[in-house]
Amino acid sequence: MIQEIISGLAMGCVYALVSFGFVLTYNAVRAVNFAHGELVLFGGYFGLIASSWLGLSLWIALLFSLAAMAGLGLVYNQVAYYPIRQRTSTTIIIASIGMSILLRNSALAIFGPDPLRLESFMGDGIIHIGTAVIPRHHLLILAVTLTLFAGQSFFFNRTAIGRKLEATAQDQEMARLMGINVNRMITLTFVLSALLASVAGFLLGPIWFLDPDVGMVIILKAFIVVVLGGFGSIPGILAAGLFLGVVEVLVASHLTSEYRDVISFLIFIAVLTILPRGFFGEKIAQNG
Amino acid sequence: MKEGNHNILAGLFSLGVALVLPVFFIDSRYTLNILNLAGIFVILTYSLNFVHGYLGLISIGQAGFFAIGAYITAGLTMAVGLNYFLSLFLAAIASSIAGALIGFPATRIRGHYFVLITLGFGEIVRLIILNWKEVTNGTNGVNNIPPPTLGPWVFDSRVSYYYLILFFIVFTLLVTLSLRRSKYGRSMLALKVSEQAATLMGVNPTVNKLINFCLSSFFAGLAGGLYASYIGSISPEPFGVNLSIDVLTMLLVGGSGTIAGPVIGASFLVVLKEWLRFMKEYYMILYGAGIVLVMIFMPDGIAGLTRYLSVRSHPAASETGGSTERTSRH
Repeated sequence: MIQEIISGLAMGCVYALVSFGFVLTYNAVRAVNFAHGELVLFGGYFGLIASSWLGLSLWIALLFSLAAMAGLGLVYNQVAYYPIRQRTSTTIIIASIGMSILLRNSALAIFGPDPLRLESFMGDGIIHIGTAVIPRHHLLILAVTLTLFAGQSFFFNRTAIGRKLEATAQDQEMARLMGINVNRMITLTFVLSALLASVAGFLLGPIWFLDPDVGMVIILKAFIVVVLGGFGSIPGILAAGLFLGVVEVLVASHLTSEYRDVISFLIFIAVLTILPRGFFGEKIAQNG
Repeated sequence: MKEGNHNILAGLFSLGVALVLPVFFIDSRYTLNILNLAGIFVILTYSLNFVHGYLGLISIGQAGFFAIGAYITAGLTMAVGLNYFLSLFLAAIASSIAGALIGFPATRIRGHYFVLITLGFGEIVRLIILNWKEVTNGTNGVNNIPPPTLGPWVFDSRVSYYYLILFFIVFTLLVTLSLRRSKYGRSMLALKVSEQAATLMGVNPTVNKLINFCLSSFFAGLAGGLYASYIGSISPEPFGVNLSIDVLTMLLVGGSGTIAGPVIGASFLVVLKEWLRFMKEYYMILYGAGIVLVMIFMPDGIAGLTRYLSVRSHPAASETGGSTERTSRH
């Protein structure tokens, strides 16, 4: 039981991290970014290029992935957001779908369809708690995620740049009047979101393996998490991510493994219908 | 009035071209196959037009309704032994009931949440088809689906199927046109421009959205039923999110909210995918890049582009319905 819950929490942490990066750009540009799953995928693949193909150490691979993803975030902003920033959110969403197809199939062309495993910083180590056997990688996921979520509140509330980002996300017009360079802040948001995707890719790689379809699967989970947690609330996203992770593990091991995802989506539709604020966030009907 | 006559002439001309088109390809089973697939996608794209073109909502669940139509048509003809056309009609009705079920919560929410709810629906349908092995035969799918029969006629050749699909395209088109001219059509366009203003004028947004939803899922189910008996075997694999995204792309590339858009978009992209096939895995990369480029350079699609060009060459004809048909911000 402890083993199941820890692995559920670990999975939930990854969901929360993916959703966090997704929600950053969502709040900044008010449009769903369908390509965020592929960004996570590429975060992992860049690590794989450095560690498996070039034989570098995992720490250097992480730095390589962060740098490459920062570049990809910049490019993404320049190609799929900046030229259409004045258009409707529909246009921005469809462009992100186009980017998602482009990135997924680039991954297929470069890395092939087979699942590839990214090494963990913890190796294959396990620890015993009572009768439970817990991979050390799961504990790493928990530690990294909790640190990042604790750090974000400091970053967005206490640092000058974080507050500028927050102001841009809340009201672009007002931020512009306050002398904030809104376009630069949005570019930075895309970069931050890509960096989070890189970390998420590193944490996900060792447990799920990486194949071109992983991006689509993980973004669907992120959608569920942000709806449960509410688009506006970062703590809500952490709570919802952990909730989804644990529910999935418990449903899969005690009820039905085939219909696990069906149950996740039913929870998702039920929350959209019955609790349109999510657990914590804004009211859905008001968000046009 | 003059504008209307032009449109009727253009419509009759297109129908005439569509009627004689297979004559040129009578020996090419390959080309006929592409034409038939394009035709099925035309209906599916029209089905999305009811939701996106009239309400401005993005649905990424069209594959779910398509799958319901396909599996129920196959089930009713094979397991129950009903006539094909009755099965097709019942399957489309079943699909529109599913549309009403998913449409009801969806009418209460807007914008991106709607995208997510339709996406969730599409995934639920796919997962059920994949896992409910007793009924759907899981990943193996349903095979040897018989061709449609109507009295003495059997639609088992590609040419005969072409005319069957064309018949249903015309049917879909007539429903779309009559909706456009009806009170409901006008209410829906009003809703798309401003829900608040339309509600104040006495338009009931929930009823209107539900009607559109049911129509949309009805025609998506119909397309699914046509697909199942045309291909002859169905499995869960083609009914994923990618299919829904393809349909959305077809609508947007063609031009959403227009009459010609779905035909142009679906035919163009089906043919384009065939042309690019020689590039193997690279063609989907180009396809994705193409979507981004279309959004940057022609957000109103090909139909929007032709309108834009004709407005530029005849400045007097500008402002003829252009603004109401553009995608509204939501």
